[in-house]
Amino acid sequence: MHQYVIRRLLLFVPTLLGVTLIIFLLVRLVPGDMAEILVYEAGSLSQSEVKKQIAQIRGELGLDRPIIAQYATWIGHAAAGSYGYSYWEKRPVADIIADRFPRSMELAILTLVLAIAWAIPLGVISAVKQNTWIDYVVRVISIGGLSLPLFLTGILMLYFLVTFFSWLPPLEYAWFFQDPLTNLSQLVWPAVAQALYISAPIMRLTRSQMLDVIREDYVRTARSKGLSELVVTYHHALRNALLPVITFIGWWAGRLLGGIVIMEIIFGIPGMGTSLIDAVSHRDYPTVQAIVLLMALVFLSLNLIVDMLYVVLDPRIRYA
Amino acid sequence: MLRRRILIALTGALVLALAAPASQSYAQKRGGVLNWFAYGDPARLDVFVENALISQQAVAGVFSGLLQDSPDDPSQIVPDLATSYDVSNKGKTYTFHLRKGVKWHDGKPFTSADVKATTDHIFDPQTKSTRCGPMLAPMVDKVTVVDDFTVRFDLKFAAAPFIPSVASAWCRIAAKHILERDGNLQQAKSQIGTGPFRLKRYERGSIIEWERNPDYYDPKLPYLDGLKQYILVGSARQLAAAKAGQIDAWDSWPPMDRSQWEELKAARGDSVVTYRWPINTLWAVHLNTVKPPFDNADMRKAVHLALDRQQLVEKGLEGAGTPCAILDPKLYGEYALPLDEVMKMPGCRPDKAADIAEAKKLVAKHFPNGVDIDVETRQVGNYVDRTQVVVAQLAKIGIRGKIRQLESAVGYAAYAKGDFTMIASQDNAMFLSDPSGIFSLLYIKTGGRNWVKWVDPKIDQWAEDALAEQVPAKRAAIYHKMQRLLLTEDTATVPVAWVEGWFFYDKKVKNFRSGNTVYDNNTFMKVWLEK
Repeated sequence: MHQYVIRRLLLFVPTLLGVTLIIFLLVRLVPGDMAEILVYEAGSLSQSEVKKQIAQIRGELGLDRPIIAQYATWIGHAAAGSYGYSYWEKRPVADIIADRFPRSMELAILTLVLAIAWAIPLGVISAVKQNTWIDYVVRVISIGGLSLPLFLTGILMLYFLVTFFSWLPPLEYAWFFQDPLTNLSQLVWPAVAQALYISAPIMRLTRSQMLDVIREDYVRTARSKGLSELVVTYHHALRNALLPVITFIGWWAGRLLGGIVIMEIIFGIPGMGTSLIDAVSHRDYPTVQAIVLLMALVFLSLNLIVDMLYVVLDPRIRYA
Repeated sequence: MLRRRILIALTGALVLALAAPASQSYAQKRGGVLNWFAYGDPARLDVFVENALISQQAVAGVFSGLLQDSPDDPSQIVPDLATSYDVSNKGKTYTFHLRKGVKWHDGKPFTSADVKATTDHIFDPQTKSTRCGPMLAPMVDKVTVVDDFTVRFDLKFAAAPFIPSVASAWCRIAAKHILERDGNLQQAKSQIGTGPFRLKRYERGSIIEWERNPDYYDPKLPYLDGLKQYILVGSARQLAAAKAGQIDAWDSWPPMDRSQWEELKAARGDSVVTYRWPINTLWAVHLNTVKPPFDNADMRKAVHLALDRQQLVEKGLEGAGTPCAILDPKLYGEYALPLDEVMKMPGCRPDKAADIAEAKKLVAKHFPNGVDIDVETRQVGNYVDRTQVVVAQLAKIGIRGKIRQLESAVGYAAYAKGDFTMIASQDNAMFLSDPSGIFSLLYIKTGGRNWVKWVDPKIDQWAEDALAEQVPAKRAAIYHKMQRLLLTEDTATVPVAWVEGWFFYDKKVKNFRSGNTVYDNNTFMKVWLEK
């Protein structure tokens, strides 16, 4: 068990290093840098002034140094916990993350909780009531949720609230610990929109796993012992059916971060997603690198947690 | 020596007295908070360095200028921190007399040293000023403090756009002690102005809030207790907030399109006033003169003749635009070539048959089998849709366009580097409400958006003449000459239309006036709410 955990933790480091290299190179592959964007977008300077200013800003940002030197500096600072300074926002990137990260994480957790809360019970019901009208309704809902693009679900939700209730959540973002009700009224809609999307595959996987498991001998044995259907389904069958579902949820939780970017924009949540979009459009490399690195870190951590959960749920893995 | 004492305060008051209905002047009510929006997060608030509307509007009510566009009638320039000015030395010297007793938001007194510190800061190459610097620097030779409340501007030449530039929303006055302390105005803590509102808070990505300045030099103003600018990104979010009644006014960029406007009217009914208004922006097609085929004057002419401006306005702008104008008469009055004349010109006239036939001949003369070109456009708003209409129109004369879409920032960089053949859809916003703006930006050799590298010594000379001409009628004649030349002889920056948009404000919002540019008249100092 310990060896397994240590092996997984050791793998974490090179993976993360690889991610840093990819992030660093990818953002620089996008055409244009911040110096060009700042100067060219202004559009009111003469051509000779433009060149001078671009050179000056590149010098200030260190963009005129060799790319290897830039990477070495960044990775060194990141390892020491310093993510640099945002030339666009004119403040340390750590401050941006401290502002934005908790909001995005709150939205992600709320989304995941909502998705799991209805996807797993509905998946189980759908399997237990296979080929009944309940099963058909659940399957239609799940296919519908998966078919609608995320941005469209979000926009439709806004449209629905305005059209039928002439109401929208307050525009000014409220922190959970300052005003929990307002905070939840702001986050629940993007969370529901995204949960609808990610719950569909969870629901379908739960259903198919349950269908496999409830035909197993040990389930039949449990029934023959006279256990109630509820105990058989939720205690014996679901526990075994959940293993691949948990892996899947872990994977989706990582993917969730991408969807959150879209939801934050549509619902005006000032989280990491909106910050990332701003940073990418202005080629604010330190901010982009830090946010993507953080997202990668969250993704890898989730995978690690899922692997650990495997060990808890399936004792055979400990000895593999 | 020519010496004219211009009592603009008196004139302004007179204009107001004549213009405002009697009932309104007694009806103003104090109090209330107006809800507005910004289309993005400004991140940096330095009005001298930034070029985006969101940065300027974030602090528009916080700072004052020497002069300003009248909040009651934005076409007039009225006093602000200067009560009056003298013009001498054949229009080359302006002496501003400053208001006494004005306090910065931190309580320190305002003096001419602040004006001098501001201009020194703007003209410093290290500041890299993007708006006010390029406006004033070509005209101003030096700024001298005469005494605590008098400051003199010596110009390099008698420049007609000098006063409009001083009144521009981009040329505000900053506090000397703040510039010395912070070095710039980028952070919220540096927003210490003399304006009608103080910056109360700026929550990144969420809200910018102003509160009434209790020490404002005019004790009657502002009427509002405060103003909130919510940061709303994307048209879906902005429209939803408008329909739900969460914002009281939409006078900012981007304007609504027609379908959004209709949706809003259906949702809010009679509770809002909706209107269409120019956004002081010219949609132009840019033809690169250093690359084939538009290094050829015949090919440029063919494009000008073939573009059906009326159809482009109808399809690309949903009818909201003034076709073929280089200056929009709605905004520039006598300086604009009359539309009657423009609409009779080849290329601009609604009947396209003869123009298309002529354009076909010009293309066939150089490319008997037609020509294939790249057509660039930025992925912004409906630019790609507009580009498709342009491409379809040019196909009729044998110019076959292949659309090359560029991400917004990449597009600007490509254009500035000359990496394009034809930019089919580009809106060029004026940041100065003066007829010189469009020519300085697009048509003179050193123009910041003369991406097409087009040079006509006549235009350059006339642009300079117009800058120095003080008599409006003579100045208008020069601008007419320039517009005629560009529309009838040759140009590589082909005007399509001045862009308009749909806007609204809630009926409870009173004394609201749209500025001459989207950047102007955003202080809300005389706006009040009917409770």
